[in-house]
Order: sequence, then C-alpha cells, then structure tokens
Amino acid sequence: MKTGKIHNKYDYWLAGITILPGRKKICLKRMFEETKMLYHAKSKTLEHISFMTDREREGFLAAQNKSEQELEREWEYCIKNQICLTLWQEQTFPKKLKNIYNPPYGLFYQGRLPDHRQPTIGVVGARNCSAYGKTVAKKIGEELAKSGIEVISGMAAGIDGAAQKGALDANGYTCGVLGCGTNICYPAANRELYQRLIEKGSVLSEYPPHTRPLAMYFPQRNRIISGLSDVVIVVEARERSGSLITADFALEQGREVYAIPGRICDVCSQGTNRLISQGAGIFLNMEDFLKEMHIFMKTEDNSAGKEKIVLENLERLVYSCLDLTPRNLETLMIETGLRLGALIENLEALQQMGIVSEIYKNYYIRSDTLEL
Amino acid sequence: MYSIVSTAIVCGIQSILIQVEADVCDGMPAFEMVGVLSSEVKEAKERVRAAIRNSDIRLAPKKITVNLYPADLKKSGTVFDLPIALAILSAYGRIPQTYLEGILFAGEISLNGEIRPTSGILPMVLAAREAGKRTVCVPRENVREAQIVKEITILPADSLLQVMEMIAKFAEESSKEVLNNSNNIEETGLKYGSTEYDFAAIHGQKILKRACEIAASGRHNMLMLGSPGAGKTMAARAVATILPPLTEEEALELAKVYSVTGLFEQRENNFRERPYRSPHHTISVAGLAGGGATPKPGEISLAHKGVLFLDELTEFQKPVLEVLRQPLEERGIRLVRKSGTYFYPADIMLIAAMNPCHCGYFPDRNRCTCSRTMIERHLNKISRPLLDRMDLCVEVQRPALLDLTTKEPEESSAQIRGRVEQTQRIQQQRFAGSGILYNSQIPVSVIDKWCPMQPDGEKLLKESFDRLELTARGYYRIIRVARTIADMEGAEQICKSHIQESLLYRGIDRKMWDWE
Repeated sequence: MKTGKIHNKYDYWLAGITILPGRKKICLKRMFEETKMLYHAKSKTLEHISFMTDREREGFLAAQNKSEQELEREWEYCIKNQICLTLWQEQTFPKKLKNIYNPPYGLFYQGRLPDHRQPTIGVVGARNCSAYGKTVAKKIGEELAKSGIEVISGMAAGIDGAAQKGALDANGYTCGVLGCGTNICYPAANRELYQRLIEKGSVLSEYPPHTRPLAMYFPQRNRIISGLSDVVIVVEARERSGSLITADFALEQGREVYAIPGRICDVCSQGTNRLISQGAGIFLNMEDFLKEMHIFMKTEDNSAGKEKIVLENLERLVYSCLDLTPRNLETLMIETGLRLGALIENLEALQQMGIVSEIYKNYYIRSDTLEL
Repeated sequence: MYSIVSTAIVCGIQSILIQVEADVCDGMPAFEMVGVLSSEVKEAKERVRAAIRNSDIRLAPKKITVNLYPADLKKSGTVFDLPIALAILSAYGRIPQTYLEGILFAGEISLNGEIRPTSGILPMVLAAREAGKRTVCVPRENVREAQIVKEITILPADSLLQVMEMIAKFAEESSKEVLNNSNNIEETGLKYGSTEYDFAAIHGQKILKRACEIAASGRHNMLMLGSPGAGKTMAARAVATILPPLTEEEALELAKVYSVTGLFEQRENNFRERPYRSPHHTISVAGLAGGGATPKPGEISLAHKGVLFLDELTEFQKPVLEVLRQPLEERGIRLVRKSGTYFYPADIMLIAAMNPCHCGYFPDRNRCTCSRTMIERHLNKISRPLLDRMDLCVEVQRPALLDLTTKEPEESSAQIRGRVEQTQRIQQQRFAGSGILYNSQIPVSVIDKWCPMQPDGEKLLKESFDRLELTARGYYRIIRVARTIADMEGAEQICKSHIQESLLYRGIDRKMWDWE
C-alpha cells in the first residue's frame, strides 16, 4: 500500500491521539521531527513543553503506554482495510483545511480526498428534518453534483444524508466527514450511503479507526466540514442546533454561509431564518446561487427536454391540494371533497406519473415541483 | 346412616358432576371430610356445622364422615357447602334420601344458614341437564343464570331451612316456588347499549370509520395509530356496536365464561350483545390470557366472540403481548396445570391503538421532536409476529374543528351493522362447510380459490409487493382485506380498486418509517 510506505506506525499513533488538538500535534511534530522520537519521549522532556496542559500531558503519556506490537497491529489494520492517512504537512492534505484555526494533524480516510482545484460546498442541516428540507437537500446535492461541485457533509440522518444521496445519484463526488472512526458507520441506518461514499466519494475523520461516535466529537467534526468547504449551505436547522455550530465555524474560517429560507412557523426552519436575519446569504435558486459564487455551470437547457404533463380535472384538483408538507389521506379527502375510492385512484395515477409520492404510509407530497 | 347428594365442580368452562356422600354412625364424635379437597372446601366443615346449629337443628354428637367423589379430582370452590349440609342432614335422617335424588345442589352457606351466590352455576346446570337431571337447586341470586338453560326446573335457595321445606314440597309436587326457564336467550333480545358509543357520535374520521366497517365485516384485527385524543378509544367501542348479535350458541358459550369468572351479572341483560373488553396496560399475563393456580379465564376469554381493545399497545409489558400470539391463531387458550388442562375459548377481534412515536405527533415534524432512533425504539416494543397478525392498520388524525361542529347527521351504528351482517352472510355462504366463518381466517392454501383477482388487480399487487417491500404475511393480509372490501360491494372478483384500498390499510412496516 502506498500509505504504508509513506507513514510508519508512529505517524498513525500520533494522528490517533484524540486528546491533543491538531495544532499542538503539529508543533510537537516540528519540535521532534520524527514521530518515533515523540513516542519514546520521556515525561521529563515533555514537562518542558509549555503549550501542553497537564491534562493533555497525562493523556499523551497514557497514549505512550501502548506497546509497539499494539501500534503495529493498528497500523496493519488500517493498511489491510485501506484506511489511509494524510498529514498536515503533506501535499495530499486538503489545502482548504490547512489554514483554519486548529487544523487536524492528520485525516484518516477511505475513498478519494476532495480535489482542492474543484469548488466545494458544504450542505448541512437537522437530523430530524421535515419532508421539505429533505427534498430540498436532495435536490441541492443533485444540482451541485451536476455542476461539478463537490459536496461536503456529515453523513448524518436527515439533511446531510439526503444531500449526499442526491450528489451520488447525480454521479457526483461527495465527502462525508465523520465524528467517529471511518470504519464505523454511524448512524447504522446509513449503511448503504456509507458504502456508496467509500466507492464513489470518501469518508474521512480526524479520529482513528474504532473511535466510538461520542457527542463531544461532533462539534469538532463540524469545523472540518466547514473547513473543507468554500461555502456552507444550511438547509434546515432548529434554534441552537449543531448545524448552527457549523455555520459559526464557517464564518470564523471566512467561508460564506447560505441558508434556505423556510416558513416562520416551522421549527425546523427557525435556525436558518435566524441565520438569514443575521446576514447569511439567502438561497433562492441554484442559478442565482452559482452566479453569486462566480461558478458558471455547464447548464443544459432543462425546460426543452422536459415534457409538459397534462393532468385531468380530478388529478389537478388532488395535485393542487398537495405541496411539500406531507398531507394525510383524511385531510385530502376533506380538502378535495372526493370519495375515498376516487381519491386513491387519482393519487395512484399521480404517483405513476412521478409527480406525487407517498413518503410515509398514507402521507403524500408533491415530488416534482422543486426546480432549483 | 348413609346418604348421597349431587353437585358439580367447574373445570375450565365445563362442569363435572360430583357426588357428596355422608355417613353418620356411633362412635367418638367427629367430623371427617375426605376426597382431595382444597382449603376452601375443607373450611366448609366449620360453615356447615355452624349453619346447621344456627338453623335451630340440633344434631346428636356422632361420628360424621363426608366423602366427595370421584376421589381423583381436586375439589375447589364454595359450591359444596349446601350439598354437604344436606347430605349430613339426610344421613341423620332429617331429610328422606328420596327427596334429594335427581336434584343438583350448589351454593355457599353462611354461618346463619343463609345461602350465598357462587360462580360457575351456568356450566353446572348444563352439566346436570346432560347427566339427565331435570331439577337444580341454586342460590336465589344465581337463578337468572340457571334460567338460561332450557328444560330444567330451578329451585331457588335462600336458607338451609327453606331448602329443606322446598324440596319436601317439591317431592310432593306442590311447590309454588318452582321457577322455569322464563327468560331464555330469545326473550332477552337485543339491547345495544347507549348511543354514547354509537358511530353516529363520531364526526368526520371517514377513513377510520371505513376501516372499522371493513374490520368488522371480515373480522379482521385492526391497529390504530394516532396522536393523543384523536378518538381511537371511541372508535374501538363503536366497533362492538356494529358487529351482528351473537347466535344463541355463541351467547351460551360466552355466558359460561362469565359464569365461571363470577361476572355473570355483566351479561344478564344483554346476552346477545358482543362483548367489549379494554384492559388497562398494566395487566399481567394471567390477567390477559387467564391463569392462576386454579385457572380463571382472562380478558381474552371474556372478550370471546367480541372485541378486545388494547389501548396504548406500546405500554403493555412485552411478555403480556407475546402471550396473545397463540390464542389469536387457535381462537382459544389451553392452560396446563398439575390439576389438569383447562381450555377457555378466545375467539376475539383484536383492536389495538398506539401512538406513532413517543410524543405522538409523528410525522408532524413541527411538533414531533423524536429522533429516528426514538421512533424505532418505540415501534420495536411491539414484536413483528404480533404486528403480522394485525390485518388493518389505520392512521387516526385529530379531527378538524369543522368536523366536530358540523350538524350533518352521521351514519348510525345500526345502519352500518345492517351492511356488516349482509357482508358476513356472503362470507358464510362462500365458506359453508369449510369450518371457517370470516375472510380473516382464509388459509393461505386456498387463498387463490376464494380470492379470485382480476388481472389489473393482480398486477398492482405484484408491483406493490416490491415497491412497499411487503412480507409474505403482509401480502396475504392485503388479499384477505381486499376480499372483504369486494364482499362489501357484492363483487365476486377482487378488482384493482379493492386492492388499492386494501393497500391503504397495510401494516406498519420498515418502509413506512424509512423516511430517508
């Protein structure tokens, strides 16, 4: 393996110490030059290093207690499972990430790292999102991928996952930044997405393999998402949520933040609306957005290829009662005034045309209206 | 002297005749009772002794031996007091043995000689009739219970002295106290409770009502999912009112269950009405399925031929729900104890209700704050095998205010019941002689024979199988429900529209909650 030759087991060991912030590891590496020396550094020597707190020093000494055999085993595990490592000072290390405050010392990854010559956009949002948010996120992922933009996100349930699925569906590149070891699929329900990311995109993490997904890792993970991105789009976020942390990091790192506006009564949109009121960019449609980003898409004319669907009277009636908020069958019956039989007949027809979909049992949304 | 009196014990909902023998002879004064007795039967000794003395009957101190046979059966219950007292009195020569012959006695006795009511009278009277006895003597409070049985003469017992007098008169055929089966099942007729639980009282909720009607027509089990206060409980109650009345045979069987449980008065005035039981979710396994050292029927048997409603299904303890699985298939429960095997019928229509998630508002993301994991954990409280037995699954939404205030008259339960009866007649004609009664019971092996489908319906079903990731069980459930919907329209074949509607009520499955 290529990485096996570049890095020795001590590099893996240093990159895997979670208690030390990346910038301190970088300093240590500069002082000692060889990671092997660091591994064998005496506690007396470490005491002279002023930038390490007592807690960090203790944690570091504890990490030194690992035997050589253990390091060897962990290193071999990575190589066997194609978990690669890239270090801060190396060429392969994502350039965008190099200059943020507290960059990670090393990144473990599977797949291909984001290309620094390509524009990258982070799409983040709530895990418990609405159907509206999910549809929008998926569509944004698709459109960005079509324009050759790389999508960075967190592979979480909800918005993150939807955006990445959209990008993969459009044969684009997307990178999932995890808050656990890259060999762990969290959330487990995203197993399929995880596999696709490894094949077509990448999953990366600053934490070594086997690290459990602990709550404390996720805010730190968010700084990498925003760091890797040129722009961060927040699709849906509640007040005081993790997505807003990502937005804060993005601003700190000098990235642009865009938010998708939502209705003021939707709790899932309160965070994004707040961002807008604080001066974030408003995402209205893909064309305007890309223009503002000075990215010129190789757009093909969408409208020409698409056939206009002609709806019958009743179908139009049913269709007009739907939007991106899921509607229950009972509600639709009341709103349309149709009998149950006629209603399901028309819903079935609309589903066949692909312009309506049943997202949960007996709940329907429009599935075509979104033209970004 | 020697005497013998007939009585009976209850075993399951059947009854077995027991003979009480008494022997009185000279010797050391003593009172011995033998014949595998449980503690409450042994205590009868004290009650009988006091009751005889307090009835101003003075007996000379002699050696008394009482035997209950067949001796290999464990005797429990309190019905033995009266027969033991009578056997002793007869052995003392106070009552001629001939007076006691051909009569079945049962009743608990109090210390002052009064006869107290007891449970299980109905199966005992039935057993007496089967054994060729034409007369029973039961506590007055239990008379109405005994009166259900035809061709039997009932002697109501108030006190020990009164019984002695009555049987003497009866033997001379001059008793005025004799009661015949005056209020048997037909006369009691139908009383369909108050209008409080009528479907006319439920406004809007069209889909829920439709699902209830389908469930009642084909006797399908139903699961309701909905936010708190959506009217799930009300609908479940109303389902019991649209089921056709019990047949005489069914009513009798049910009355037996209530009789052995000691709850007969609950069915006294409404023999033909389908039972509705809604146990609280803190119920134990024995409470639901039946049990105890000497088993008693549980809620599933009390809901026999009627509706068992389990509200807040996710709150029930897991073992309690799991115990339902077998009775739902076998339409009864067999409890095995050291003392024997007890069978209680439990042919129920199961209606369950639960919240879609912990807070109850899913999928309204504005109000529901549950994460995907929380929702999954909530649903995983119900095991798949149990979910697989729910034929219809329907979402109940909180009604809009507009629906509640509308003055438009809603269909009454009586109207809906008329249609349900019609649909059930169609089913019974189709299944005549096959041992099944309702569409929900169609075995998979003959599903093609009884559920012929039109090609477009079959096509839709095949497509849906993949699209909705149905299980094999789920697939057949949809066909059975579609069969009922077709029967409601009087259609021979299952059309596309029936399948379409049936798909609406498909069970909650992985796909439904997979909102990725």
